[in-house]
Amino acid sequence: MRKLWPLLFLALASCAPSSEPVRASLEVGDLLSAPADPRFTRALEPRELAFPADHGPHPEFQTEWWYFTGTLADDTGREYGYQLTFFRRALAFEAPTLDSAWSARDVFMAHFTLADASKDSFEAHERFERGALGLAGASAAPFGVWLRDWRLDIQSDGRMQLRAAEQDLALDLALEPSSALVLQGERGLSRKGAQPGNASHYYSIPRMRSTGTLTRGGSRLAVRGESWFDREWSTSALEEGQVGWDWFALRLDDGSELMLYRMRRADGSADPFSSGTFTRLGADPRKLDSDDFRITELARWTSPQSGASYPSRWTLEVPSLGLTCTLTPLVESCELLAAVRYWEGAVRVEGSRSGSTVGGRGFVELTGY
Amino acid sequence: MTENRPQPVARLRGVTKSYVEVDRTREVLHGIDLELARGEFAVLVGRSGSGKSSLIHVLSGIDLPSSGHVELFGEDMSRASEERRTDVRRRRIGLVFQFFNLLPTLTIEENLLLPLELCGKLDAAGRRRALELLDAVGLSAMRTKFPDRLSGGEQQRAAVARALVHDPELVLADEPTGNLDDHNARAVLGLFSRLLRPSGKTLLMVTHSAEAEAIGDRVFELHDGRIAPRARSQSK
Amino acid sequence: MISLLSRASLRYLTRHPAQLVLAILGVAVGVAVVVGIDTAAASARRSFELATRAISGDATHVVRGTPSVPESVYTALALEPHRPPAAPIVQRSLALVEPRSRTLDLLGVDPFAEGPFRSYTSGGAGFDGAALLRGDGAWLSAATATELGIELGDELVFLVGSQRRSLRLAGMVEPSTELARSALSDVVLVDIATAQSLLGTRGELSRIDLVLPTEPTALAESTARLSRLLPESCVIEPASRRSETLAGMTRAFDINLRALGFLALLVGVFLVYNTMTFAVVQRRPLWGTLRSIGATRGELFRRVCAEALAIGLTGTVLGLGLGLLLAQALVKLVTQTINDLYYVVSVRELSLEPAVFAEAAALGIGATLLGALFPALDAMRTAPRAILDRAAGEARLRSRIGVLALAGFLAAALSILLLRASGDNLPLGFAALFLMLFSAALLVPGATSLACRVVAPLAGLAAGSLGRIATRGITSHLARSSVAIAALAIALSATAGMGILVDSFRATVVKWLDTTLVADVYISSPSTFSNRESALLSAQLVERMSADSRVIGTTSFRDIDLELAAGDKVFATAAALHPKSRDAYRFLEGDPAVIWPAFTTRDTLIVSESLARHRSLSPGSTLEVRTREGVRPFEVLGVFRDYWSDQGWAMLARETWLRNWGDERISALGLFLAPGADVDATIASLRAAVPSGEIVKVRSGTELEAASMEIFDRTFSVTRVLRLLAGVVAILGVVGALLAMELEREREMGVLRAIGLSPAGLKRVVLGQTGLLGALAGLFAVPIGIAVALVLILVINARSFGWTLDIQISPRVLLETFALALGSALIAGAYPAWRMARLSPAQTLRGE
Repeated sequence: MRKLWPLLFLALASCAPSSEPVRASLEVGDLLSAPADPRFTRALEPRELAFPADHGPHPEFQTEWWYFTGTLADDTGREYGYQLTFFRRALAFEAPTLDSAWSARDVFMAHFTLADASKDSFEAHERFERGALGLAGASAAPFGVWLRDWRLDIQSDGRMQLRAAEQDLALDLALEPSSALVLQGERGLSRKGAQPGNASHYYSIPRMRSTGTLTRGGSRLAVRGESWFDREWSTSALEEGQVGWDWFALRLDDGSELMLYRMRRADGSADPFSSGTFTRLGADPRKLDSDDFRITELARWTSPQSGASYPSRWTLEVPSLGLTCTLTPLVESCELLAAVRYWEGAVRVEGSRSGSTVGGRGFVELTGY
Repeated sequence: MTENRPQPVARLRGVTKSYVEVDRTREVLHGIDLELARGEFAVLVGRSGSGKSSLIHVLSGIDLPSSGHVELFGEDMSRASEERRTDVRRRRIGLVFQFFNLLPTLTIEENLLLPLELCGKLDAAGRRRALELLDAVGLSAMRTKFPDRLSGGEQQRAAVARALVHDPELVLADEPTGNLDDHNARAVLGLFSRLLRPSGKTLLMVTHSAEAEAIGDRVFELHDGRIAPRARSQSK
Repeated sequence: MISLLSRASLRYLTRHPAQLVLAILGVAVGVAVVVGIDTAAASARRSFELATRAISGDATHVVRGTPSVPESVYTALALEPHRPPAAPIVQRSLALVEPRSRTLDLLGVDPFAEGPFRSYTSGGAGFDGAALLRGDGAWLSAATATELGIELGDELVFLVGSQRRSLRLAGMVEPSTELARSALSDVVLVDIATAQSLLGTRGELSRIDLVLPTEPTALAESTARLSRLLPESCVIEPASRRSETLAGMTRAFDINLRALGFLALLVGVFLVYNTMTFAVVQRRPLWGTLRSIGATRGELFRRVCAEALAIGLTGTVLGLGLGLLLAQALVKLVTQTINDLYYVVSVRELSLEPAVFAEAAALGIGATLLGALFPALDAMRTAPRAILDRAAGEARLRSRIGVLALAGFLAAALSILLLRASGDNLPLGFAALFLMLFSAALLVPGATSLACRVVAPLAGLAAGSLGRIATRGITSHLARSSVAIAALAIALSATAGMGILVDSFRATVVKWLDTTLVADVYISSPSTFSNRESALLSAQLVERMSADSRVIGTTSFRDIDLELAAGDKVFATAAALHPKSRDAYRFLEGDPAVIWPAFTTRDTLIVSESLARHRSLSPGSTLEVRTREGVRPFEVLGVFRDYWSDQGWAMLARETWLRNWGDERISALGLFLAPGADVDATIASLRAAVPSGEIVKVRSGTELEAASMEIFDRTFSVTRVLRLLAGVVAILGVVGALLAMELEREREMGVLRAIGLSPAGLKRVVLGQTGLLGALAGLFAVPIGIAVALVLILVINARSFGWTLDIQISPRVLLETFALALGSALIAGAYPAWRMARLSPAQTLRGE
């Protein structure tokens, strides 16, 4: 399972950190477990995906997201981690019949972050808009999803453009796929729980060559690097006992990619629906089950803002692949104090696979801490 | 004595008077028996606090005895209502006080007319009598003045005139010379003799002045709340 | 250890506990009235400020438009790359009809844009966030929901124009600060889509809130950049402007309250002076004795001042407490009026302003000391022998009557000069009023002495010596009686002045309504002034009503706010007037023959007297008004007589409105019926024709007049309460004064009893004297009261409200004043009369 769908803006949440108490009172699980309108389509079986159409919105499902994370470097070699994600959530199956252009069925949320490894700094922005009046929306052909001036455009040849600007920070990236599109789970159907329908349609493009500009405090820097694109839609919910997840997306420098997620239960154990996928250029994706991998925490980082304690270094072992590596955050303080509090940041990968040294970059997401 | 003895003007029998004070009851009169005959000048002497003023108050009906009987003109005042006692007082009694007690807001003449008005005798004859009395006490010239313009002696003479203006049968005088010098005291006592004797009025005067004592037919002494006749001084 | 000197003077007071209590009570009531009024007014003001601040949140600027801001302005702004935080707002006062009648501020927001502006938190059982965007969800503060007795999911029915519209309580807003908690008590929060849909204002915003930089050059740059995005009909202004405008609306009302508070304070000062004078004057013999045995002047002076301070302090503390109780009661009346006439405000709690307390303490302690000062100086200066002799003191006053009277005339002349010179300066006007009352107080001893000289012979004739005793008792105790009479007269003249003001006001308004309400039937939505913007009639309703066969003509009104170029607004009505309605307008300036032809054809308007006065408008001047197409000059054609609103309003022709704003809806309709048509029957059938789901008031002119007068009377309920209080203060004062005066004469009364006055006769003497005193006070109160009324009507009211009133001095008010004076004096005399008649003369004479 990837990515949260926080409904918390419904709490009239303000961006000001001072209204923290509200957020604390609403746990992610509570919101995702909320009963959905039965008229929404649920992800029950794998389906044939067609592109570029399936890049576009799936309004018959309640929730979907377009998720970009990546690492970039400027000309001087300074390294950055960025995240730009767009979420759509339908509040109701049918739009309310109101005599107002503000009347909306969908609400959009976006998160935009930048971690600067050289300065050990992290900056995060969040936006909400309703899908009305052109303030936010998702269109199919040509595909675009936007919240005001933050937007993602996908051209018919699969190239993508990302733009976001907030205050002194602006990012403008052109993305081009450099790996195959990976269908996660069972032919793109990713199960999150025992209940049928508690699943999502999920595909990824693990490697996208990224070039563009990063503007900070008035100076424009040319940047290049690699991004990971995740795309998921569902009408699903967290099941009872699930309190959060740890998600890992690693691009190894031997040309392979690994995606793993671990569903955490209230009792601290890993949920059997934890799983992963290993891909290598030119080979079929290999599905990993919960007992195929082991994740060990090596250190923890405590947020000075929220006081929450997150794991911050790991050892990852996948015996069947002969892979053992440590994951170290580029910047430790990648906590988003957004409507849902979570940690999401770039990590450095160091280890060995089948006896030979292997390195790489990846992204980790931690929720429910 | 079986002769037709005239009814006394006032008769006190077994009169006691006590005041309830904060922590005790103070009895100032203990079983007073006293009779005043018509035309009699009685003088009551006694030390301060012997109960002289209380006796006057009880006798005039402005206060009631704690026990015993007060009979005025044959009527038991100790059983009469406040209204009745006031009525008897305003018609048949004249009062003279140590501190004159003229009404400061009335002129001398008006002070004299007030008792007449109160007993309903404010007619031409009454007014004439008031003027005569003013003349008799030597205050004709002062009649339109207010009391605060008069000397003490003048005020007391006016007060005597006020006590007599409605032709009362009994005049009660409470230390009338107590606040006056010898000259003025003599003048006031002279007025009593001159104005009361001829018309046969009865006078009870409380005093501790020897000179005042001298005008009395009988002298009583009030001592510790008990009354006793006092032998007349033989010296003179 | 207390000095013997202190003991001697304190024991006097403790042996006369009634007088001590009255003195303290006198101070307390005076202080209480001031605290009560000021706290009530301040609380209403403060609540409003809090509400405004909570609603405008952290916005520094707003975009306003006329008649509204098109929402495309917001979307254009939102898509700007470097735009400042912005939030679209749809806001309107709405009448809630179920579960209970109440006016609430509907605040339509976009929750996603709210972050930088307002912080609410929310939660609770049954929390259903999505409901906010579902269309009918409304949020209230938990306290308001409890007050209304509703729970999550319950229905709230509003009156929108003439239509019933309902929302569901979807959640509770818990403001994150205590400040916002009370401020949000009148707010019903909805999604902006819900608000537009409910109000029928698709595409329109009330405003856009902005947070602009504070640094001046950045602000100017930002404003300039944003202004380029705005159409002609919109403007950026500081967020505080609107609340200033609203707060300014109640300026006149505040001044009026202050005037009342001021009068109460004046009465309080006199009362305190009165009680202190008595407390000192009565003890002259004691001072004399003390001086005789060697107390120094300074010792006596300090003694008196220390006592005054103790009485003043005790009274002040008591008065503050009483004042807060009083404020609790007054604040309801004050907010009722504000809600009727100005804007929605509800006061959760009293706002305790240090300034009010300081003012009250200064009054209580200061006036007490001041009251004691003259008698203390007097006692100090007099030789011991003279002090023993009260008559000497009285004689001195008598010799000063002439001087006092002269000073009184001078003060009166000065007050008149000050009134003329004060111009629009209200504090000066109040100073003149104070001076006038002061001059009256100076004239009282002379007038009393004069009056007694006239009355004494008459009293002598009527009641003989007893009559003379009663009359002369007043002149011979002039030092005391004149203070009592002055205090009573001034207290009552204040109440008489207020009474005459209200009567004149009422009579003027009744007469004006009679000439103005010329239509036979009026149709309007049941709204109050504060929610009049949303009180629109449906087109269907207007059509049905006008179509009745008995209707031969109509007059229609549309209540609007004209946005001026300067950024503030003016209330206005766009009217389509029937000729008969036209004829009802009385112009103070401008010629109807010129006005009416130009009224409909050009961009012109006519203004009410208050508006003309507040903004110095006269025929020929122009108002720069923001129309749909930008700012345009509107020529003022005339000034008409009007009493609807103290802020004043403008009227423009419906044609002019449509030409410049193009909104056809109307707020009220007047119908003229065919001659001979039965008005009541027509009203009944019109009521039956009201489309279902709509609520409108169909009323005859008479009913409308009655309803208007009801609001009028409610507005003046504060005045009535204050009149009553001033009366109570007066009675307390006079009871204290007369009680002291009469008890002092116990001995004299004892003599009277001794020489044969019956108890009943004694009662008559005492009551005769106090009655006479009261009658004199009543007599003096009448001319002073009329003078106070004239100042209130011609100066204070005219300057603060801008209204010309026909002065109406009804015999009823004068008789009431006189009766109150006499009655309070008789009440004051009753106790001493009863006591002295009951007392055995022997007791009073026993001193001998």
